[in-house]
Order: sequence, then C-alpha cells, then structure tokens
Amino acid sequence: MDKKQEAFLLELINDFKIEAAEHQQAIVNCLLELEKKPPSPDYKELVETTFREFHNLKGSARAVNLLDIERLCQSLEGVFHKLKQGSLTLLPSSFDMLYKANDSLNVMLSEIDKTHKSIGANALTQLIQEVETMQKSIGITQKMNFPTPPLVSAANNIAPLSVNETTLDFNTAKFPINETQAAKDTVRVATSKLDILLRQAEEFITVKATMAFYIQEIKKKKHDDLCMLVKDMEQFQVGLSRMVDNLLFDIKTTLLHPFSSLLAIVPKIVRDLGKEYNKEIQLSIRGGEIEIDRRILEEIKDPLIHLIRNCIDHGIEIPDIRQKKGKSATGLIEISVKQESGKNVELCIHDDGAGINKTKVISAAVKMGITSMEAAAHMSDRDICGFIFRSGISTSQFITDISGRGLGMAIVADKIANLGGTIMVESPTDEGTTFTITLPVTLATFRGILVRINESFFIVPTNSIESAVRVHQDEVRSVESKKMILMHGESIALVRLGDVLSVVGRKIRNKDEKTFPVLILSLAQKRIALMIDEVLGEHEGLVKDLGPQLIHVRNIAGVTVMGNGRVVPILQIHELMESAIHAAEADIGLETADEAGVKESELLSILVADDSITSRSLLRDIIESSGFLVKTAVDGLEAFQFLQNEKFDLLVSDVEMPKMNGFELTARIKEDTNLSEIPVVLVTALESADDRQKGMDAGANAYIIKSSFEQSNLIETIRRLI
Amino acid sequence: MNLDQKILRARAKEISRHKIKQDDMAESLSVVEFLLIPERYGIESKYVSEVLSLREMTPIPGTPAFVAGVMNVRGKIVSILNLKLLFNLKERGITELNKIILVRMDRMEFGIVTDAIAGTLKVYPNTLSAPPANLHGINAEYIQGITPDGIILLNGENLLTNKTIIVNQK
Amino acid sequence: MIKESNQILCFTIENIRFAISLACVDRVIRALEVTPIPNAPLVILGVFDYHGSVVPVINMRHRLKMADQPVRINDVFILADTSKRKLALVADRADGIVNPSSNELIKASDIDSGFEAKGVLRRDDGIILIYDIEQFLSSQEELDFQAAIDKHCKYEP
Repeated sequence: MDKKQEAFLLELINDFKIEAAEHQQAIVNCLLELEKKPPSPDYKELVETTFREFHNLKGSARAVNLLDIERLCQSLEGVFHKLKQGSLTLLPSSFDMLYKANDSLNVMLSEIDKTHKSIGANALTQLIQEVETMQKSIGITQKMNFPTPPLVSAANNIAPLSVNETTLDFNTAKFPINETQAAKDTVRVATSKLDILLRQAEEFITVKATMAFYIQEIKKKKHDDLCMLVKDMEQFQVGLSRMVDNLLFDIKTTLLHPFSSLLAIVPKIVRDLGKEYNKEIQLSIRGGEIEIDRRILEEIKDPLIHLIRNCIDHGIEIPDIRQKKGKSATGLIEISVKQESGKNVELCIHDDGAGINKTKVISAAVKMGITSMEAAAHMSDRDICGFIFRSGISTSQFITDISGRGLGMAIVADKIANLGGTIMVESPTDEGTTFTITLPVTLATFRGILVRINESFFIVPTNSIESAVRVHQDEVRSVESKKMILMHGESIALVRLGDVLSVVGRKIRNKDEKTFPVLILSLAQKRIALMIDEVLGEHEGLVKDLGPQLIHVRNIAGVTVMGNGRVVPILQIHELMESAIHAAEADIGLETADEAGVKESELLSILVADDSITSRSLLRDIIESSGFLVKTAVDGLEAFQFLQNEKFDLLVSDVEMPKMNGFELTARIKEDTNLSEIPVVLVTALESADDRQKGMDAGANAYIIKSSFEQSNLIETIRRLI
Repeated sequence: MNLDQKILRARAKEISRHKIKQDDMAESLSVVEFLLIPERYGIESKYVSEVLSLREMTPIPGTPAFVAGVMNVRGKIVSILNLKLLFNLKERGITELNKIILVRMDRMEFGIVTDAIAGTLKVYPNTLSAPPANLHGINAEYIQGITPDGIILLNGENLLTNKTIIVNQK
Repeated sequence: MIKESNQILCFTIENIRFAISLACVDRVIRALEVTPIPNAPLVILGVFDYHGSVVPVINMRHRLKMADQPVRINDVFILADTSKRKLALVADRADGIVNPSSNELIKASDIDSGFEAKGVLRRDDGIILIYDIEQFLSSQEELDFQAAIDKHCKYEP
C-alpha cells in the first residue's frame, strides 16, 4: 500500500473512531434507560434506537474493513432485531451480557490502531457465541412475560402538551393593538384599485426605456453641440430611473401582507406534531407584523411547514433524552421575522434540539460522491450542514417520513430560490438547528402577451405593445420593396417576427386564411408591425435569466416559466425594434400569406412515433422536407389512438417506447382490419438479427437501424411503400 | 475445448493484456461515461451535478448552433449544449440525444445532450494516452486524453471555463 | 456526481429481473473465461484478470439458488464495487438503467437478514428485485476468499 492510500485509510479510520464513539455513547445511554424500573415508556423507541446504533456501527466498521467489530455488532444487532419483533425479551441477567459485550466492543474500538489486541480471535468467537446463545435461550419462554408496562405507562403518560400559551398570547395580543393603532391612520382601499395603481406605475418602466433609447439615438448624431445636452440628459435619466424604481417599490409595498396571516397556522401545527412525536414543545413567534408580498407568503407556506416538521421530528429530542443532556424537558421552537433591509426579510426557524449530525451528513455526501472525506475535513460546519439541501442527502436522522408531503430539503431550497430568496442552516454541536431564510419583500413580475411563431412561443412585454390587430393580406403594401401597413394614416414597416428572430421549425398556418395577426410595437415614437402566427393571451410571471452560459442573447430579455412548466423566451423590445428595423430595411424577403405550397389535402400523411424528442423532430423534419405531411406521437399507445381517429398513409415507429413498444404497435396494427393495410417502418437502435426477426414477425414492412441511418434511405423506403 | 470456451478464453486474455500498473492505480478519477454516437466520452464526475432525462427544451433564437436550448430544472434555467456541434463533428445517423448531463464549476453551469449515459467508471490518469493531433477535429484543449478503452475523456475544467462558449451579444 | 442515486441497473437471470444500484456499477462487459480458485467459497465461480487486478466472479445462480450452469458466451459480467473490492456478477443480460419512482417501490427494507431483496420494484412489465451489492459476498466469504487467494498466489512463481 503506498503512502497516499495509507493516509487515506488512516483518515477514514479516524473518522470512524469519532463516529463509533458517538454510537457507543448512544448505545450505553439506551441500555441504561432500558434497564430502568419500571420499564421506560419509550421502551420500543429505545430498542429501535439501540438496534439502529448497532446497525450503523456495523455498517461503518465494514466500510473501513474492521471485520471483527462488524461481526460483534452483527450479533448484537441480531439481539435487538429480535427484541423489536417481540420474539425476545430482556431479563435482568441479559443486561450483564449486553454490557459485557458492549464493553468488549469498546475495548476493540480503543485498540483499532494497536497491533496487539487484548481480545483475540478466540475470545471474540466465544463472545459472539454467548450473545447468540442469549438470543436463543431467552426467546420463546419469556414471550408471555412481555412487559406490557411500557405500553400502559405510555398511555397514561401522554406527552404533556405545552405550546407555551403566554408566548402565544403575547403574539396574538400584539396584532390587534397594531391594528387599532393603525386604524386611525389608514383608509380601506380595495386591492383591485391598488393593483391598477401598480400597473400604471409599471408603465413608467417604458418611460425609462424610451429615455434610454432617445439618448442612444442622439449620441449617434455626433454633433458637438449635442454633446453637453446628451450629458445632461444622461444625468436626468439616472434621476428618472431612480424615481421610477422608487415609485414602483413604494406601490408594491402598499400591497404587502403581514407575516402573521401565515404564522397563524403554526401553533396548531406545532401542537399536533408535538403530540404525534410525543415531544413537549414551547413555541415562540416574533415579528408577525413584518410585511411581505402576498404571493411570497403563499409560496413560502409549504417550505415553512416542512422545516417545522423537521425541527420537531429530528431536532427536538424526546423529553427523557433532553433531561439527560441537561436541557429542560420542553423543547423550544422560535420563529422570528426580521426586516433585513428595505428589500429583504429574514425568516428564522430555530430549535434547541440535537442539531444536525455532521458526521452522518458527511458520510451521506461522500457516499453520493458530492464531496470526499478529505474535502469535508476542511469544511466549515455551515458548509457541511448545507449538504442537506442537496437532493439525495439524508442522514438516518433525516429519513423518517417527513417527506409525507413529498417535500424534501432540496425542494424547500428550490422553492425559496424560485422566489429569489436564499436559505442557510447552522447547527453548532448541541445548540440546536437554525434555518435562516432571506426573502425579497416583493416579487419582480412582469406582464406580457404570449404569441406563437411556427411551433415556438414568445412573450412580448405588454408595456411595449400599442395594439394587436388582424391585417388582411390585401392591406399589405410594398414601398420600395419594403412591406408596409397603414395604421391611423401612418405607414408602419411590417416584418415577420419569425424572420427577425430567425425562428426555425414547421409552419403551422391555415393556408386559406387571408388575414393574420399583427402586433404594433411602439418605442420612442417609432412604430413597427410584427407579423405573428397567433396571439394566445396574456401572461404574468417572473423573469428568469438564461443561466451562466448565456449571459446575453440579442433580442431576448430572459425566459419565464408558464403555469404548465413550459419555458418561454421573453423578447427584449429595444433590441428587437432595432433588429426589426434592420430587417425591414434589408427586406429579408417577407412573403405574403399566399406563399408557395401544395394544398395540405394533397399531401400524403405519415405518422411518426418516437419517445425521444430529438429523434422525433429529426424524423419529422426529414420526412416533412421531402413533401409529406407529418404528425407525431410520443409512444405506441398514442400512435395507435391517432391511427384509429385519423387516416395515415404510413407509420414510422421507434421500437423501444414506453406504454406500447414498436413491436406491439405493429402487431396491433396488423391485427386491426381497418389498419392492417398501413405500411410500418420500424426505426430502431436495436441491431440484433433477433430483433429484426421480431419486427418482421410482428408484420413490419421495413426495418431501419438508427446507427447506420441515412436520410435518403428512409425517404426511399417510404416512397417504395406508398 | 469447444468454440465457446475458446471465445471466453480469448476475451479473458484480451482484458488481462492491458495491465494497469499498481502505480497507475494510485490516483483514480471518477468519470461519468456517456455516448455521443458513435463515440464514447467521459467527464470527471466532480464536474457533474446531475443527470436528467430531456423532456422539454426551449430553443433560444439567435444563439450559436451548439446551444440546443434551455430547460427548466426545478425552477432554475440552464442552457443545453450539443457537443457535436461545439466540436464541429459530423452528424451521423439518428441519435436519441435524450439524456442530459448537467455540468458545473464555480458559477458556470450547463447541460450536455447525450445519446445515453453509460454509467460511471474509474480512470487512472497515468493510463490516459494523449489524443491524436486532430481527433475528429475536436479542439485539443477540450480533451484530457483517451482511456485504454477508447473513451474520450473531456477536460471538464477547460470546457467549463472556456470563454468562447459563453454567449454575450451585448 | 450523479444526483439520481436511486438509479438502478437492471439485469436478467433465467427470465427473472434483478437490479443493483447504478452508483456501484463500474461497467458491464461480455462474459469471459474464469479461473476457479481452490478452497474459495462456493459462491465464487472463480476469478479473472481485469487489467492486472484479480476480480472474483459471483456465481449468481448459486447465490439465488437456481440450477447451476457454466458461463456462456452471451452472458455478461457486471463489474461492481463493494466497499471492499470489485466483483463481477454473471447475468444473462443487462437490461438497462431504471429510475424508479417511489410509487413503484412496493417493499424496501434496510434490515440485514441474510440474502434477500432490499426492495421490489413493480413496473408495468413485471417485477424487479433490488439487491445491495454488499450482500453478494458475506464478510465470512470475503475472509475465506481472501485466504484462498492468498494461498493460491503463494504457489505462483
């Protein structure tokens, strides 16, 4: 073994020692508790904990190749497994054996580094035998003596509920006072009216943009006289921007809601969960009067509940353990809201429980390959705790079904990030856990019109749109080879948005339609008419950037995620206007609606079934460009449904698809008297002769292998078959 | 010895032929192997943050051809690159391009479309051979080396820090 | 690294489908000739030289209490890493990678009680038994194998 590996192993063993010491302590604690008379009300839980401790210790020992320790743990784990099942009970004498075994385990752990072991192989084997004999001997005979007291005492001893009423009173009392005080200085205004106000204020963003546009235009003139003027204007522009931003911000703040409306649900949740987990909890809430955007309050509800559940389930220990640790039996959960700055609010959820087990987080993170033991050794506690936000990381303390709501820590973090906030966790050893969430006071939203060009969708910000009209193709005039339309007596250059953006893709348009929708954009008194395929409605949402690799893409301001999860680019109107004007000047060949094309009814239609979007669209493009009409299906089942409802001349299908694969689809078609005549071309990644035979057996007319695929091949095959 | 046994023996011989010296084993890289038909590529798993199925992708007009589009990964938008186009490789056959490997380093993060993710493997840097001067025309700085199995190991750091792949049309 | 750690590699033996965590899989290779090791545990079919290191091949049929059968040329070896070593599992074929959703998982247990499936996955096309790679070689077998291989190696020049 070379030095590097040796050092690595040493490090692993050192980590193991730390971890083992913790398990040891926990095991001793549990044994002590189990031995108590009368039996502890937490008997079952203690058995479970001890079992887990031995189980985990065993696993860790195996990971560092300490096979003797693993063997001993295995046998002890076995005892507790039987205890769990109830097929074994503990007699006073069995504790002696357990302590003896555990002491030996302790000795073995302390002698990991030593070459001479005081417990030799024979002694170990004997010990393990003793433990195993115990498992057998005190089994069945004692079964009737199963100590019911734990159950009885548990029933008598329903965890005293102590959501601290005084703290709550203090809080509930506080809001009415605020309200009555506030009543003198406030007027009631309907939120709908405030929303209108907000929209009007948002229009000023256009004013800002217009100003910037003018300045750019003047700068192009390069007149010395204008120089000073431009400088002054630029200064004015800075001031104007600030005023507009402040106005918007102030209006948004009038639309805020106090946190108390959300936090009102917390005491009940804490009370219920405290009961569920048999834990005594005192709750303290502060800062409910702090205000935040209503929409954020709605979004933050689930993450908040999840974190509270976590505190109760994993943070706060059961009363006995707390007392053993010298803490008060009642756990404390503090929720506080603070105004961080004018624009941010900080929400803290703190518990004084056991905190996060960093060793376990590290080993989980290492197991996931997110970090290495070496790297983790140099990490701060905060960084280590941060791993719990990575999906897949869960320590054994973090797995019980807190995710009953299907909401893991990773999702909590994602949700908060979506709101433009951050979450941090701190858990100094034995000082509990604190989650700190920073949220923006308001959401940066925008509104726009969703439009379609071919198969792509875009959002045009509403504030730049003057009007949306339908234009008849006869209204389009050519002026010096440029296309123009007349609006209110003014000639406006008409360009196709798809051309400005160079949108590719299949054109979906009804050829008989003589009119088409046009958006009139205006910016700085310049107007342009954008020809689009369809207006689909208005959308309000958050602007997101395109990720670090796409810092700035011309004509694109960002994207927004629609309600259905579709990502839609938002157009950048300044740049788009410039691009559009260039496009109109260059006249990149705008054709009017009567462009060449065969009537759809004359085309042969082909159905393409493939579950991969890439190969689906590739197949479609190839087939379409050869003059066929193509419809696509995402799997065999969908294809079969399409086939039953529409007439197709041929099917091109992938083989490996969910729900119904290509072989099954082919077989179904060939069995169906109405469909059996439709030729089937299987296009597949499967290359074996076996599969080819399978395809032929199912009744396919042709079989094309993807890897050796040639476009001409496919088209030739199709032409041959129809 | 029948034919099957002969084949099995030949395979065993073949796989034992290329010895990886113990020295070479000292340091190993964990690598995610993926397929871009017809080649097999690898990238160190420390650069890989996630592997996803491609469900929906939005092309962004005006971006270079190697930018396939953007996708929504739980609320975060990431761009997706097509390495074949970035490397100017010829498209061959129909490819699935159905799986995405998200790679990241520092603040940079993007996805790579692949035909399939083959899994992870250990690569011993000492066993890497230098890429031929003109490996399918791929810019040499993107390649760390070729593994004994013929996997093209990408240089994750150079790929993720390369200024030329950043799109900034301001 | 790959976040979707619940991805599993599925393989088939005698028309029964099994799976192990993808994270521990090194690669899948075509079957090759295996050299038996005297005194090694029965579950070890033998070893082969994988780029200079000795990799034991687990007799999956023996482990799964199925009728024995020699390695065939169309079998595959799934090379996987346990916490201790690299192993090869013999399977009729490797079927691919599955990312199970929780509602497909009908049983999951983390209790070691000998060799039994850690989970059962219900799919539209049948059931997949999920095993933990650590299960295929018990620690006793591990020791026995090491002893056998040490002894065997001593006799080699």
